[in-house]
Amino acid sequence: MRLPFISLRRQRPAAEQGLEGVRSLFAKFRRIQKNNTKVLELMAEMDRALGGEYIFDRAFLESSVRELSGLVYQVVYSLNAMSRNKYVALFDRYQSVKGVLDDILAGGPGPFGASPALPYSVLGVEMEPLAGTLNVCLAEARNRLDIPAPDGFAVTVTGCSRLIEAIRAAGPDASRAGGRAVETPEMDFPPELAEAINYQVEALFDRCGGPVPLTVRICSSAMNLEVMTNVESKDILHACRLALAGHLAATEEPGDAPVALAVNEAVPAYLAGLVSVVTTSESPSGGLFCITAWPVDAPDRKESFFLRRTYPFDLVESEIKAKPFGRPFYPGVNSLSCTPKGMYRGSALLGPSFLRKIAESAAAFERILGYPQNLGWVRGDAERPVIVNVSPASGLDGSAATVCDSGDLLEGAEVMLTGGETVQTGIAAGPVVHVSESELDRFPYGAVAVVRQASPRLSAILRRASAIVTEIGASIGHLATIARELRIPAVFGATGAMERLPEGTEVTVDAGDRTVYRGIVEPLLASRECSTELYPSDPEYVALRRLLRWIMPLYLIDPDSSAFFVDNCSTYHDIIHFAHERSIDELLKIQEHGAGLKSQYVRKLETDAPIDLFVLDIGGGVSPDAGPCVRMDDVISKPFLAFMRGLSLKEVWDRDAVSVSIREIISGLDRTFAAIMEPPEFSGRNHAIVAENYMNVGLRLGYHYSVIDSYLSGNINQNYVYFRFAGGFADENRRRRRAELIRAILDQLGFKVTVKGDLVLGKLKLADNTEVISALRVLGELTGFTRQIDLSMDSEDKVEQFAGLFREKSRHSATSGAEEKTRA
Amino acid sequence: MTPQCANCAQKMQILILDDEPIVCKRLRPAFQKAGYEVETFIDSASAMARIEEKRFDIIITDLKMKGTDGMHFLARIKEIAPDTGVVVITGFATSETAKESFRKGAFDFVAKPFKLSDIIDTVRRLAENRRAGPS
Repeated sequence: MRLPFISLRRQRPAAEQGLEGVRSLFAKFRRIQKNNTKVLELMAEMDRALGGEYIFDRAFLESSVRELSGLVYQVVYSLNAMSRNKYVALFDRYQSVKGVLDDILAGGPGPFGASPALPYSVLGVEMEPLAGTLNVCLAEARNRLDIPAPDGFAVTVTGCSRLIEAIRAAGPDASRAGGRAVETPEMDFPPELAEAINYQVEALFDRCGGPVPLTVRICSSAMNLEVMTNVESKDILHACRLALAGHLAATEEPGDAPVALAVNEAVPAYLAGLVSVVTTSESPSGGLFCITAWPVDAPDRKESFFLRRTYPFDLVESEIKAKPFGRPFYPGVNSLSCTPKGMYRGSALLGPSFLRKIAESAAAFERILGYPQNLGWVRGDAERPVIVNVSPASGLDGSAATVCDSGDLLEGAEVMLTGGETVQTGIAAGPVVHVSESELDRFPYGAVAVVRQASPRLSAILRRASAIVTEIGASIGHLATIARELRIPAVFGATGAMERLPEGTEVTVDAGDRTVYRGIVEPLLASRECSTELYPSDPEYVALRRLLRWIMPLYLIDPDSSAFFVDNCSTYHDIIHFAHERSIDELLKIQEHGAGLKSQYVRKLETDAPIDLFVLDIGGGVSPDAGPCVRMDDVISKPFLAFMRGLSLKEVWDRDAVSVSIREIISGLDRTFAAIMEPPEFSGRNHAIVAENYMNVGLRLGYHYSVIDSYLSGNINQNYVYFRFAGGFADENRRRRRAELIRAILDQLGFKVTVKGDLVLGKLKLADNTEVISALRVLGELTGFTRQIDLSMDSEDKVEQFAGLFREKSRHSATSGAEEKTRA
Repeated sequence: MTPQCANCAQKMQILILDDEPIVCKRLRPAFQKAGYEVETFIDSASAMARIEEKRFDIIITDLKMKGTDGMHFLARIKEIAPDTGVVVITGFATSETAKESFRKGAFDFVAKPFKLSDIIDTVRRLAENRRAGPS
């Protein structure tokens, strides 16, 4: 690690040095912004690759990470150069994340690889090799899919390997006896593993509100119906040992295949069952969901139901058993019910609504993992099935080299829409629903969402949509990222989608081909098994998701939060966001480097505003042809021009003079002395440090002091306006009321405002150029309007009164400006 | 429309060589779906042996592979069947490698990562050029 060389001698710089200091500070700030933009672009490119539209290989992953790491390092370096190495610890965070990424690229296990047990809260589908399919599926169900599943934790492949070693050390043949599990001899349970499992059990009990019975299952490639139920915490280690010994006993080649254990809270249930995909000569080409169900206390009374695999998952066939009269299936539900006419009517174990809910879960797991899964489910008191077991359906893992000829697949299919941009590849079908943001809760499961604009608020419906098509939107952005995480086939920017895809029409969306067909195109849906998609089972997909987990998420969101500090930066996104915020803080101190403000480069601005203002150009803010006095025509700086446009408006300066009482003069004396005592080179002098896209304006009007700092890059993520306003001559109450007045006006502009006494801090971020320009203009107006206004704020109702007056003057000036523009 | 070779009713034959299995795995169904006959190889020796025994209309080859040089493969293709259309795909694109590929007779040079639709469009253009014949 190389730290920026910074002299620690605190000495006042000479004028020329000061100017260079200011320019250098701004250059570093711009480098941070520029590198942040590149990092965000690279992150977006990697995220897009996850969507399946791009063909990439390991070389792409390696070069992307290498480039990202270089840029993030530059960001950290520049921030330290700006701040006299105030954030050296950020280098440690950078090294830590880089180490994880390099390890993943080298095929290492990553930071969780050494963990013998992991809770579901940290598991994702990309951790399948470490935690097993069952664990990651139950975790995804709980964390992202909104599917009921038991809480629990994984005893990872790492943990199980240690236990298997211990079992074998206890006796090589102990775990094998005629292919059946046997009682293992006494052995020393690996102490670290025991500690990790016991810790996770305690944590699980905490989350469940107290001790609960547990289940222990092996996570293997085949559906394992052997489950150890009602395990108490004191027996958990023994249960884990038995489960693994049983697995070793039943496995032909023990030790070859990695294995993990799932430890879950037990789910009370009356019914249990399985879901699988079956294909018969009469079934649609994509096959059918086969749902079997049986009472928990009578596993031989099995019933079967066959449903279509596309929404609304119609029931095609069922095999229902006769049931003994008068015996309830489960509490409150009998085999025979009495109709209003007094007739008896028989019932199946499951009704259509519940069957559909099971099918919905099966479809969601298939989508997120890329191929069909066999599910184990149970029914308790809740209206929805609880998924307790998941394993890949054999032979349907997407790797089959089936020949797919579009000519056969699409014979007779009518194209309803084509175009747009693929966000997530995939093929899905369902009825079209035009989504209204006010009715997101009513979006039905399995429908194809068609919307005008890709808004982040639509994330709520993505878990339920089978596909999404938008008229406006691009493959980067929050909604696109969510669509890729959930693997929802998505096409954004398809012009005319709302008109060409009428509400209620059944359609098939081929997102990879950016085409929507009328009706359910069964052969196309069936071709999902041999599509060009990037599957979660592909090593490159797993590697990319694992990498993105340490790159993309932004955990440090609120710079005002107490958690916003270096040690909490856990991803590259956190680091660059942290550096962005802190670089702005450093830039706000640009006047501390203010020897430059005395230099020969500071020139007076000729302006209509009734104030003296001095300008220091640090790069492209003023025309090179400007003379010793800068005219407004010489100003190039876009943010400064916008601010001055507001500041120069006569209407906002045109307020009645206020009378100052003796009391006000006496109460303001201490602040007057404070102002007098400030360093003479800055007091009373209004200055603007400007560059082409930047301005930092410090104004002292009367007894209040305001700073407006803005960067206008054209990139919505980098644009900002900071506003700081404090001081005044009047008493505390009047200054507080003035602060409230300013807050009310800034609120309307979309600023995030905090008021502490008479200090008002306003921040505007994530604003486009038009919004920033507009805000700066209003801040210019506000600066003129609020001068000495504290003296007039003698009652609470003055807040609203002056807010109204400001709006009136601001509107008047805007109207006059428009008229002048029209005349011009 | 199913792409057909220039002078017959057969589907166009494509050979794909890339030592990264994921590239072959994903390109194969994409071109099959677009109507081509596809053979994929992840080792250049097998691909080299295959082009000696079968004529392909179009070949898509990686440039930098373990144990072999894609340029050499490209040169050999042009020796055996000069009219075979070749598209070079690479994750290490430089202007020099692009120039050399074109000099050795490649139809196009595509840097990874690339969009599926882009490579299909490239091959479609190549197929149309072949159908139109030498101008």
